[in-house]
Amino acid sequence: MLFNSYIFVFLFLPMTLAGWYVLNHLKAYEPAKLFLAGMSLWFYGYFNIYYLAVIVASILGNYCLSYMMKFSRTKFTSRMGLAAGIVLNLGFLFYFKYYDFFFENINGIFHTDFNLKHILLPLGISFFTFQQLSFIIDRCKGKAEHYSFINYLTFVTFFPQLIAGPIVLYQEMMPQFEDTSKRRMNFDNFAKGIVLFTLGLGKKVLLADTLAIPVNYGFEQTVFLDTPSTLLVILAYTFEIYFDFSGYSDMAMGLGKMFNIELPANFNSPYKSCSVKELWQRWHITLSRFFIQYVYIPLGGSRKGKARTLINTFMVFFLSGLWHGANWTYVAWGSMQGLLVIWDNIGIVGIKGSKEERSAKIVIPGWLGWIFTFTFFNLSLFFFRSENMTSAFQMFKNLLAFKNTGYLYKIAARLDIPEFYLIKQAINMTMPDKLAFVYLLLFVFLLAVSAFIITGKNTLEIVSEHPLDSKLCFLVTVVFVWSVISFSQVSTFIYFNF
Amino acid sequence: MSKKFIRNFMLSSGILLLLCIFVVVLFDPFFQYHKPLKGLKAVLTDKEYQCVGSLKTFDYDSVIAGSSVSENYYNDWFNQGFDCNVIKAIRSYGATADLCYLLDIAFSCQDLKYVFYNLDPSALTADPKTTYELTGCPMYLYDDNYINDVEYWLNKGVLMEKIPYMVANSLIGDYDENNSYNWAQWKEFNSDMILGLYIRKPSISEMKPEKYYEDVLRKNLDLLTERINSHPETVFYIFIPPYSMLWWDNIYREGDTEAYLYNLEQAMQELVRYDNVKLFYFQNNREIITNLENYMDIIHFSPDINRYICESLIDGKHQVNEENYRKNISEMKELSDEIVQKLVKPYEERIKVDIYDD
Repeated sequence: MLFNSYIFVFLFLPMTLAGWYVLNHLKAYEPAKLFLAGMSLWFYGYFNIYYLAVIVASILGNYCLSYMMKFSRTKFTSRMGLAAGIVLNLGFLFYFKYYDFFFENINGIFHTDFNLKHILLPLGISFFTFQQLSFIIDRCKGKAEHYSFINYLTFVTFFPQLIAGPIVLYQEMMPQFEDTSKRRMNFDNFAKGIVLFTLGLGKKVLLADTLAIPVNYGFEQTVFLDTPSTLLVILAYTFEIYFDFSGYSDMAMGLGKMFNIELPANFNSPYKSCSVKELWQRWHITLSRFFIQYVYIPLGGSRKGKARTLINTFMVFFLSGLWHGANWTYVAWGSMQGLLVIWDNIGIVGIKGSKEERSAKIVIPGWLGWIFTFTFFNLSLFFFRSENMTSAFQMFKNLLAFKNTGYLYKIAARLDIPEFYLIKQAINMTMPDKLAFVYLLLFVFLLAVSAFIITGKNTLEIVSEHPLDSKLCFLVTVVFVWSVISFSQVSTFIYFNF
Repeated sequence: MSKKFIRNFMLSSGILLLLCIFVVVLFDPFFQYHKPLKGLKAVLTDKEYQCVGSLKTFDYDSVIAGSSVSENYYNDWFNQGFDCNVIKAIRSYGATADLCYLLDIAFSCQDLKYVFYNLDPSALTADPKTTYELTGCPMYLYDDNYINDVEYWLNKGVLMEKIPYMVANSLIGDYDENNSYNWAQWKEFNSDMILGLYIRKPSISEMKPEKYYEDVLRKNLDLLTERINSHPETVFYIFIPPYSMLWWDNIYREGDTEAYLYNLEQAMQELVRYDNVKLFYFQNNREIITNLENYMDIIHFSPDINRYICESLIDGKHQVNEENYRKNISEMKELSDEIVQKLVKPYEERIKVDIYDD
């Protein structure tokens, strides 16, 4: 089930909230958690019942391992448990996500003929695997206790974070589920939850999904794009991916607040960053936290000399790329991020006013750092969005060709959105030859609105700083209603030849 | 303050959403709940969204059922010629199961005098299961479940585009209700068009045995004859439309000619048996199918041909019966041989070749 669906907004969410608060009001705390976990499993299995078997198997495997660790007495058994936990979780992830990618490459390199499985990737497997991996590592190291099955089930399946994060840690979630004072409805949190959820919904449905129209078309037509169209397509994608992912994170946090549960922030205005290193402290924060805690530090972090620190940094980004998808394009994207962060870490260039300023050989103003950072991140997204490396390189080629064939008009014309219908008809009647130009203006306007939003206050700042007054209520209502009527649209059936 | 915020948000969102629902149900551009409001026209331009609703809620006593080649009929040609009140039941590709699904809706809502049924050769080899869901049709409009109609009620495409379009066409446009689903007005029909769109397979596949499609043929014929049998009070005018000679060239290269002719012969043999069926065959009309100026692509012909078909149905021309159906098929076989051996040759230089053919 998606957050941006009628069934979620009008049925699932009201039912789950009502059940949760009624049961807690009756002091039926354990049934309340069981109810929440049950509803979360319905949420997860809504699209495909097969997904349910996958997540339940993963939860049972990890829970059994956690239970067995109760009997671990020696360093050896702890290490065995740790190895088993890592193999279990990464094996699961490998099988469902990387099997085909791995054997496709093996077949390509060694001319072997391993059969590919074409497995349907279970939703959110990367998120709940990492979530459980962090628990099982700490459990085997003796840092985490063994929890009741209901607690563990609720922690893993809590639906706001289940499909697209944030990647939550047991330390921050278990105490909240245990705290009975949090089981009463907190109207302040509930209202803030509505604001967060709705603004996130608007980011996803109104901005990301609209920007996706020209972006998808552009990436289907890579060989035809000229320089201006490539530039605008990648800029649109840079905004789309942010609104999509951060919108989903905002919705998750908002839903958490409605249940009086605090989820960690995942985004903090990353496009305001003046260095790539800073960007990664603000972008997908919970993923970076996981990699620092469970990869970077165990590899030695910054304790084993400068060279090793740089290698460890690169490893984190290389793995982060692979985590995002089983394709060399993601590996290339992750590696590019790694190299850029290493460049920042070397400290040749420092941003004025930053703590690296003193040790840097060259100091540049913040605005110049921002231009470099935003440009490099845009360029790296060629890899992230392209189907394959050939398409990614084609996009670089388009950009550097410095050609203008007018393809930009064709891309912009894809923005045939209902909101624009009346204007389109008016232009068609009065000055039809200007329609292509007006579509381009609409595209630029959308990008300008996106730029305005990313440079302003982010949703968390709005929620914490803005009073819950009628002005905010009006904004939230408009965004909510506009988003809801955007869940469904009328498609054009283009096939014509019968 | 928080409580007030929550209350105001719930109240204002609820009112606005209810207002959206009210507007959609009031104008109902997909005609799911009622006929057009007084003063508004039945603007029918999206068959996937409007066919089912119009069949459920309109007043009519006859139906034109068929694929995209049936969209350019002018309803009044039938109304005047047969003294009836006709609406269209159109489905892209015209698969038998899909058209029978629409006919079932029409039969359940109205007593039908006539069904004017366009039988495409491809309908005899199509999957005998409906394809609406498979092709992404809005299934919330196809069932009787009011709950999933939320996708219709709260839909910005309907609110911001379809309702204004309906109102504008009714009040300020010159929309003619007889031209429902018509697309011909935006197209050109001439030899340049058809030759430009025909991508010819360079190789010639081995001819398939004539009973190659026997299994699906029987299932499709059963679907159609089931409706004919169940409604003896309705007269079924079934007609097989005239595709261009390039279509015959194409099926020859695909190795389908003999199987398709066999299918048509079997269909004719079956359909001419019914008292409430009048069967018409236009494919062997040499004058039409060899004149490429009549076509937009290898299948779609100009509205003049639609008019000719309708007039033939009225006058009883090109009717097939138990005595002449075999003769029609053998004539068609001779004509199709002549097409591939002789008639298509002068156009070969203008025909594009499919370079991806394997």
